Amino acid sequence: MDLFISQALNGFVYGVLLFLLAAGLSLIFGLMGVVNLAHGSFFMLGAFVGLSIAKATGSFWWAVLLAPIPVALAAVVIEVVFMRQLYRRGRLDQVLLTFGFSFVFTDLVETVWGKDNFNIPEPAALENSIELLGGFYPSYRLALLGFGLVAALVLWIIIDRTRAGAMVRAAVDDSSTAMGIGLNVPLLLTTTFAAGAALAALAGVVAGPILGVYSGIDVEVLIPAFIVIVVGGMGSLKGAFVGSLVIGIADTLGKAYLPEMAMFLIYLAMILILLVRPAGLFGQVQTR
Amino acid sequence: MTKTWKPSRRALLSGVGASAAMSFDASLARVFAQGAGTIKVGVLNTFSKTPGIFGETALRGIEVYLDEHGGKIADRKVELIREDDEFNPQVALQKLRKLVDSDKVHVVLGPLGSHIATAMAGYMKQAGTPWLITGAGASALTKLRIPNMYRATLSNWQVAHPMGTWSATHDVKDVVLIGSDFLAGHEVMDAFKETFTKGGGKVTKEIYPPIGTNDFSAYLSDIGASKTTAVYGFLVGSEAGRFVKQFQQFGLKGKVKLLGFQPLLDSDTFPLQGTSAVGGMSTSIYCETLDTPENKRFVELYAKKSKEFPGIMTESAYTAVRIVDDAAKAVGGKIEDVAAFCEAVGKTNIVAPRGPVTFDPDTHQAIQNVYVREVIEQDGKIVNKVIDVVPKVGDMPANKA
Amino acid sequence: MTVAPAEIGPTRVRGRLSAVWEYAALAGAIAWPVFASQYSSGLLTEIYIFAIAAMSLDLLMGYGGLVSFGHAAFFGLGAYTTVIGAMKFGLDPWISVVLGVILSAVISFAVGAMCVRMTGVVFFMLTLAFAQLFFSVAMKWRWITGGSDGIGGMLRPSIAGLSLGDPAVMYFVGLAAFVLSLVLLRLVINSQFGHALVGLRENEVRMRALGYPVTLIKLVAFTIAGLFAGFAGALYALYNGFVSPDSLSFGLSGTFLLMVVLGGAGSLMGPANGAGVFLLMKQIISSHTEHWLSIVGIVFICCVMFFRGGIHGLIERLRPGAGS
Repeated sequence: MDLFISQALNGFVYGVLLFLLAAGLSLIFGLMGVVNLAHGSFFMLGAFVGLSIAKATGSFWWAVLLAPIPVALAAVVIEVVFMRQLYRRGRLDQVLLTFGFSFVFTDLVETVWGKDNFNIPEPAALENSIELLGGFYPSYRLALLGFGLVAALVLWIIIDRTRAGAMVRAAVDDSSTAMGIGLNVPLLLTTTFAAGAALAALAGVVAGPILGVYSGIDVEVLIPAFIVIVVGGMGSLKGAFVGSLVIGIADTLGKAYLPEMAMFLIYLAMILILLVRPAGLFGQVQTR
Repeated sequence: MTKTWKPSRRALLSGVGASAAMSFDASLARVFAQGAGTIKVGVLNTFSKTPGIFGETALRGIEVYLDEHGGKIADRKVELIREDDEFNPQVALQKLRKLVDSDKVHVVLGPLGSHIATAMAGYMKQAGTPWLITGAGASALTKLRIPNMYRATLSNWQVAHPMGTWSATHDVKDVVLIGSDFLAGHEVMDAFKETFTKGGGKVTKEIYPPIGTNDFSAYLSDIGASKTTAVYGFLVGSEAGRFVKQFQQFGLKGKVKLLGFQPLLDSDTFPLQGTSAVGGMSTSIYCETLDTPENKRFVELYAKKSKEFPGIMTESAYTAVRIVDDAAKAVGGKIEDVAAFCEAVGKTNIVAPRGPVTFDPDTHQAIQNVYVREVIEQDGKIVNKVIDVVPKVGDMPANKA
Repeated sequence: MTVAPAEIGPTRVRGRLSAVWEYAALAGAIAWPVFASQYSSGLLTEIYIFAIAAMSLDLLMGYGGLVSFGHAAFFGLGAYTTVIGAMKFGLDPWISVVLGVILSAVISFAVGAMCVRMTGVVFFMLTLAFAQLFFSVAMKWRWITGGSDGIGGMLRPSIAGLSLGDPAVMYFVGLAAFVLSLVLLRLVINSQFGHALVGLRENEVRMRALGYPVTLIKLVAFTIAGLFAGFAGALYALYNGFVSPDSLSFGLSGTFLLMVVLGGAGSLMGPANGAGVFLLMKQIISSHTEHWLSIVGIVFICCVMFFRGGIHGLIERLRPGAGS
C-alpha cells in the first residue's frame, strides 16, 4: 500500500476519535461558555465502563451501546446538581468545578479498576486485517473510520437540520433572546452537556482497542481536544470536524517524520491561531 | 495602611495543623512497626501506567520467595513496603525519600526504569541503604561504583550487544530500530548498533516513540514502506504488548523479522500479544522454559500465584530476595551492619532459576548468561525457547576502566 | 469567560493582633528542624517552595483576575535553567539560580506581552499552549534537557560554608526564600500598582476610562508572577538536585491552580496554605488511603460551590469580630 495512503488512513482514524471528543467539547463551550475540564474524564469513564461491559457480556457491541449511558447520567447529575447553582456566579466557577470533578473521576477509576494499562479487545469480526491496495490494514481501524464519518454526518444532521439542533444553535448564538422566545435553556444546557459526555464516552470505548484504557488517558486526550477546538473554532461543529482531521494527520505525520519538532510546531500553530485569529477556522468571535 | 508584614492567623493554624498531622503520622508508623526484629524491605517499582504489569509481576516474584521461606529473611519477619514510582523519576524520588527517611527500610529493591535508577543514584549513595536493582538496566550506572548498590539483574548493554552480534551472523542484513524514548531505549539501541554494524549489518532507521505510546500505526506504516528485513525493538509493558500485536495487524509479521530486547517478548506481555509474538526472537538473562532443576522448581512455585509463566521481572525480583536472604544469613541476620551485609552480597555465587549468578567485584553488576530465545507455541501456550547461549556475560568494558 | 468581581476573594486589611500569630508561626517554623524528623522538615521545605509558586499565581489570578493554566511553564523554566546551567555549562549553582530567575522574568515578560492582550478563554488557552510548548521542548531536546529522563546529580551549592545538600540547611534556605517572597509580594500588593491591579480586576472598563495603562499593568503582574514562579522552580531544583519535564507539565499547572483556589484566591497567605494543605494531604492521606485524589477533588468542589474564599475565607469567617 502506498505510504501516503496508509499514513492518511492512520491520521484520519485518530482524527475521527478526536472528533467524537472535540465535538462534545466544542458544543458545550459554544452553548455554556464553559471549557469542560472533565471532558477527558468522560472519555476515560466511557472506556472503563465499556471495558467492564465487554468483559461481562463478551460482546464489544454491547459495550459501545451501553457505556455512554451511565456517563451521560453522571453528566446530568453534575449539571443539574452542581453547575446550575453556579450559573449566576459566572463561567470560571463552572470550569473550576469540572476541574475538581476530574480528580474525583480519576480516583474513581483507579479505585474500581486499578492503575494498570488495560485493553478492550476488538470485536471478533474485526480482529484481522484486510488486504487493501497491495498492503494490509487492520479492519477495526477501517470500521472505526467509517463509524466516525457516519457519526459526524448524524451529528451534523441533528444540529443543522432538526428542530432540536436549531434550538441549540439559537441558544449558542444568543441565549437571552433564546430564552425570550420561550426556549427552555436550562434543559438545553443539561441535554447538551449530557450529549457531549455521551459522545466522549463513546469515543473512549471505540478508542479502547487502539489507545488502551488507563487512568491518565483523560489528560492525554484532553489536550489534543483543546488543540482541535482552538484550530477548528470553539463552538463550531464543522470546526471540530475539520480541526480533528487536520490535527489527526499532523500528529501522525509528525510522529513518523518530524519526531523532534512535531509537538512543538503544533503548539506553535495553536498559539499563532489564538493570537491572530482566536475564533479559529470556523468559530464565532465570542461576544461574552 | 502600613507597609509592614501583614500577618494572618492562618499561618499559625496551618503550622500547628502540620506539626500535629506529622507527629501523628510518625507515631502511627511506630505503632505499626513490628519491633526490632522485623526487616523492612522497600519495593520501589512501577505499578501503574504502561509498565505497570512489570511491577506487579516483580512483586509476585518477591512474594513467591517469601512464601517459600515462611515470610522470613534470615529468620526475621519481613515487612514489605511497596511504593509506585509511576515510571516518573520525580515521583520516584519522593517515594524513595519516604521509604528511606520515613519508613527507614533496611534494603531497597527496584526500580524498573533505567531513568529512575539514574535519578536515584545520588540519593542512594548519600543514604547508604543497601540497594538491589531488580529491573533497571542503565548501562552506565555501575560505573558510578556506589558501594551499597548491587545490580541483581541485567544491564542494558549486557543483553543488547550480544543480539547485535548474533543477528549479524544469522542472516540479518538490515534493521530498523525502535526503542522507547528514554534512557534505556537509547542505551539498548546504542549497544545493539555497535555490534551489529561491526558484524556488517546496516541500520536503516531509528525510531524513538515517547513513553506511553499506545498507537504505533504511524511507525508501522513507515516501517512497512521502508522495505526493511528486520526490526529490533525495545518497549516496556503494555507498549510492548500493543506494538507486537499491531505489528501483525499491519501485515508485517512473517514479512519482517521481529527481534527484541527482552521485555518486548516476555511472559508478561504474551497475554496481550497472543500468537502475534510467535517467531519473534530476543535476548534475555532468563528464559521460562530453561531445562534446569532450579528453574523448573521456580516455575512450579510461581504457578501457585499465576497461570502465566514467570517473566524476566519476576525472576529478577525473586533472585534478588534470595541474594538478600543468603547475605543476611551470612552476617548472622544483622542486616543493619550495612558494610558487612553489602560485602556478603558481593560474594554471591549461586545458581538461580536463570543460571549462575555472581557479581563483578568492581562494578557490582551481576555476571550471568545471556540467552537467545525464540517465541514458540507449545502445548497451547506461548513461550520463549532458548536457541543459543552466551555464557557468563559481564559488565560493559567502559565501566570497568 | 470573564471573571466576575465576586468570584475572587477580596483583599483584606488585617488587624494588629494577627501579627502575633504570624510571628509565632515563624518562630515555630524556625524551631521545627530541631525537634522534628528530617523527613517532615523535607516535606515542609517542599511546601515552602510550592507556596512561593502558589502565591505568585495568586498575584496573577487572585489579584489580577487572570486565570492561567500554564504557570508551571515559568516554574519549570527556573528549574531547568538552574540544573542545565550547573550541569551542562559548569556554572556555579548560585549563578545558575540567578540566571533561572532572570530568564523566567524575561520569558514571562515576552509571553505575557502576547497573552495579556487577550482575555477569558483565549488567555486560558494561550497560557496552556505556551506551557505545552515549553514542555515539548523539554521532552524532545534530549541532549540539553535530558528528555523524559530529566537531569539529575546536580551538586548543591553552599551558603556560608554550609552545603544545601544538608536537609536542615535546605530547610532554612526554603523558609527564608518563602518569607522573602511573602514580604516582597505583599509590598507589591499594597503598593499603588497593586491597587491598580485589583481595580482593573474589579472593573477593567472603568480603569481604562480613568486612564490607567491596563495592558501594561497586566503585563507587569504577569512578569512578576513569572519571576517568582521561576524562583520557586530554581529552589525546587536545588532541593531535588534533579529536574524533569514534570516541572513543566499540564498537571503541575493544574496543581498550582488547585492550591490557589483551595487556599483562597486573593489573599496571598491563603494559597501558601493551600500549597501546604495540598502537599500534606498528598503525603499523609496517601499513606493511609489510596483515595487522596478524591478527597482533594471533593474539598476543591466544596470550595468552588460553597467556600469561595477557600480555606482562608473559612478561617476569616471564624475570626471573632472579623471585618470585611
